[in-house]
This record gives sequence, C-alpha cells and structure tokens, in this order.
Amino acid sequence: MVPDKTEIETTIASAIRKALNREVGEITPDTSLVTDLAVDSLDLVEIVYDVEEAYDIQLEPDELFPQRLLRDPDNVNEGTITAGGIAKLREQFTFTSLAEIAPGTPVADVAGKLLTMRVFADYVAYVIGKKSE
Amino acid sequence: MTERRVVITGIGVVSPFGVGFGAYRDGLLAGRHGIRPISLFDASKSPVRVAAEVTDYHDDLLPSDPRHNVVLSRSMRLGLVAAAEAVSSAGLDDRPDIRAGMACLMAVERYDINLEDFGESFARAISADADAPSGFSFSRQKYLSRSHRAAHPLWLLKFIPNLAVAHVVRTFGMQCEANAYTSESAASLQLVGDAAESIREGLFDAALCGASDSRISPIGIERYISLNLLATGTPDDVSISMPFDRNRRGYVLGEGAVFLVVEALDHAERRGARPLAEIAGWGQASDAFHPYRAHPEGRGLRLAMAKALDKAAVAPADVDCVAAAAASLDDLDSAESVALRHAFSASNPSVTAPAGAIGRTHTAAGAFGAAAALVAIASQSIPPTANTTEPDADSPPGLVTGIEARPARVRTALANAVSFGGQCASVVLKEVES
Repeated sequence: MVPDKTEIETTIASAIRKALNREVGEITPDTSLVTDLAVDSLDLVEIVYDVEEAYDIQLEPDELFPQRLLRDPDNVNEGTITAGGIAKLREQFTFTSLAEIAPGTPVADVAGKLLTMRVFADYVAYVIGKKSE
Repeated sequence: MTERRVVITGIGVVSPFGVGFGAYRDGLLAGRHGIRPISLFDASKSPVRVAAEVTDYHDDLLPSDPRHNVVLSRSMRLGLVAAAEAVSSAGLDDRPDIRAGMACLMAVERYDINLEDFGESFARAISADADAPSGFSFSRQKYLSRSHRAAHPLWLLKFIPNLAVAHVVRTFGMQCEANAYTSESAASLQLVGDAAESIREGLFDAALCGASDSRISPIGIERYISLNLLATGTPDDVSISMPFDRNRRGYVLGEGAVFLVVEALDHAERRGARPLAEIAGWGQASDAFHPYRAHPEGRGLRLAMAKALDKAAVAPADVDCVAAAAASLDDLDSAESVALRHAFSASNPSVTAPAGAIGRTHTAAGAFGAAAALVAIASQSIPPTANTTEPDADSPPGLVTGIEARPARVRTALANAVSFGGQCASVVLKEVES
C-alpha cells in the first residue's frame, strides 16, 4: 500500500534534517531542496539512501534529477531551457504536476525549481506504487 | 649563488596531551605521559587495555565546513585541527594569497575497515551453514544484494587516504601541489625534507607539512597484537611505553597530528614571519632488511643520519639533542642505539624519545619527533623520556630520563623516524640566529 503524501514528506524531511545536521527552518511541500535548503550532492546521497531504506525501494537518480536532459543541446539554448526541453521535462515528470517553468529559464535554475518536497514525495509515492503493482 | 635557506614558521599539534603545540611542549617538558585506559571503545576483553588517546578533541574545533564532517575520519579531523593551528601560528590566517601558492605534503595512514562502519553490514550477511567449521558462513551474495546497506552510503570517502590531504587544501585554499605520503613513521620526516628540497629548487616558497594518525580501534589494535608488537597489560599499566628501557615489552598505540609550515627564509623575512628553527639538513635511507623488523645494526638510520648531517654541514659533535624514533620496541630501540653510537662515536648528544610520552604514533611519529626537537630548541632544554627508568645497557649514553627537563644549550637538534618496513629519515633543525 502506498503511504499518503504527508507521511512520505515527513520521512523525506527527517532524512533531510539528519543529512544536513544543522538548523533547518520549516519544510513545506513548496520548499526547494536546492534553493531553500542548499542541499548538495553529498547530502543527496544520504537523503536518497535513507528514503530508500525507509520504504525498501530503489530510487533512480535519472528519473528525479534532470541533469542528463539538461545537458542535451536540443533542450538548451544559450544556457536557458527551450520550449522543447520543457516538453521533455513534462514527459519525464509524469508522476507530478510540475511548477511553472517558462522557456528561457536559466538551466542552472531549473533544478532548483524542480526539486521541491512535493516533487520528491510524488516521485517516492510513484516508485512505491510501481513496486506494489 | 648561496642556497636558499628553509625555516619552520608555524606549528600545530594535537596530541595525547591535548590540543595545541603548547600542551605538547608542556607535557614533554614536565616528563608526563598521555597513556590511559582506552576510552574510544570497550577494550575490557582486550589484552591491550591502554593507549595514548587524544582526549580533549571535539568537532567544534574543526576549521572545515561542518557539512562535510560526515566524510571525515577521526584521523582526518585531528589533522585538520593541527593544520589550522600551524597556519594560524605562521601568521597565515589573513593571507589567502600566500596560502594559494603553498604546497601541502601530508603523511597518511592506511585507513582500517572498522567495526563501527561495517560490523552491522557484515553481521547481516552471516547465516547458519552446517557445512562451515564454525557453523556459520559469510554470504557475498547477501552482502552485495542488501546487507551492505547497513553501512553509511558515504563510507568510502572516510577511507581514501588522499582525501585527508584534499580536505586540508580545500579548507585553507592551497592550490599548489598536494601529496599524500604512505611510508609510515618515516613519511612525516621524508616530506619535510622533500618540501625543503623543493623550496630550495624554487618550486614553491612555502608548504604545509604534516601527518595525522588514529588507529586506536578494535581491528587496528588486533593487527599489531597478532604481530606481537604491542605491550599488553591491565588498565593500570599505563607506564609501559618505555623507549630504550631494558624492561620494554612492546609499544603503545598513540594517536595525534602535527603540522609544520615550512618556508623559504627570504619569503618569511619579507612577510615578517618569525622562524622557529631552520631546517638545515635531511636524509633518507632504507634498511632493506625485513617487512617489519628493524635491521639490528640500524643500517638505514645510520645512512639517513649521515646524509642529514652532511647536507646540514653539521659535525656530529655539534648535535646537541636527538629526538629518537625509539618506541619501546625490542628491535627498533636496539637498532637505533647502535646507529646512534655509530653516528656519535666521539660525542654524546642528549637523547629524548617522545614515544615514551605519546606512544608510537605511526605515520605521525616523525613529525612528533621534529616537534620534540623544536621544543628542545625553543625551551633550551631536553625533555625527559617519559616512563624509562632502567635504560638498557646499550642505550644511548646521553639518554635523558626522569621527570625533569635537562637545561642545555640547544643550537642543533636531530629528529629520527623509522618505519615498519625499514624506511628511515632524519632531519636536522637549527636555532635561527637573529
């Protein structure tokens, strides 16, 4: 059975607090791991690991993080994401409702906008759901 | 053209006497030792019950980004704290411009797989097996499929030796060469010589040179018990690190870190830094003899001392103090006694062995010896060799024992280091005439 979103968000939030090991303010569904919490790649390894352990699942970084997509020159124009790139993002992130990302958003900002608590929790719910099918 | 002179302008120490060079200096000069019952883990069932642990370290002392604490081993942490003191004492806290051009040479240990990180994941991969002699067996398949996940996902980063150096250079913004030395005790003197040589050649003007070592752990201890190298006893037997003593019965594990700022004298003078001592000579050699026993005639150390004195253009009779490598080991101490008698046949320099106070600190031992030589020059007295009460008949005649430092005119001091494996290194330090 897939746990509800609030429970998954609580699990993720506690993994974040554990990994960051410092004072972190309120974490809401809109909180961005990248821009609000300054989670770095080392932290993410720990966070993903703890969430995987909590639900006995395997998260695929490629599904949650769009780096590969954003490296593809077809999706990027002068350092900003194209309309085509956004369409591909929506294909990849079918498990959630993506925040508004307009064509022309700098690639560097896209990850921050994408990786919110809501998206992370939606992805975890999607993986748990797939597993229990 | 005269050769560029090389000096030490900063020092940082984390030792069983506490955090700071001052604590190390005061402990040595008072003839104290830092050996206590092991507190880092429950050693109550171990034949080895004491060690020279660093006791007053805490993470708040770390100069590095606290977000990276999770990937720092204890050894790396001790090293960072000592490095910060060295940088600070050399007056380089506010000189990122100079630090950017500094090299970092650091002796690092082979990090042990430890039970805290792996015990649980190994245990989960063990199951009953009627065919195995013990009744249990370790399943590689089980380990790889799931049980390895009991270990921290970033564990590997704590075990990579060159990352110890990477953390230091990142913390202090040092962008010149950064090398990890792995030749055990001698490493931390080899790199002082290498830094001095490179500075003479003009490759860089200054280097942060040091070592950190921390292997007081169940597996760390077991390795040396198996080789019959450690002194065993009750928790009350704290005075068992006794270099050159005829009752010595093995060494005591010590941990700690030492860093030196090694710098061209001209560079130090230009920025108004006060030299603590000149690095006058350095030499390396090898026993080429045995995997972990010292050559009985100390042939590697003889050569290393001869090369160091030759490079320093110092006659043996002008050496006032020797910081010996002897660490309460049967063979190493005897070998060094023979080598010292050979090197100083016509004179009897005062000899002190800091391992009596802080145990054998492995990769950091050479640097602790150099730091003891600096103590002798700075205080104009020879620290006594803690715990040594009955010197062996063949021990160096100038061995200083007891609990009081011996006042002496110390212009020149020599530090020795001998590795398991026979690498030997010596460094000659001289008072800087003002």
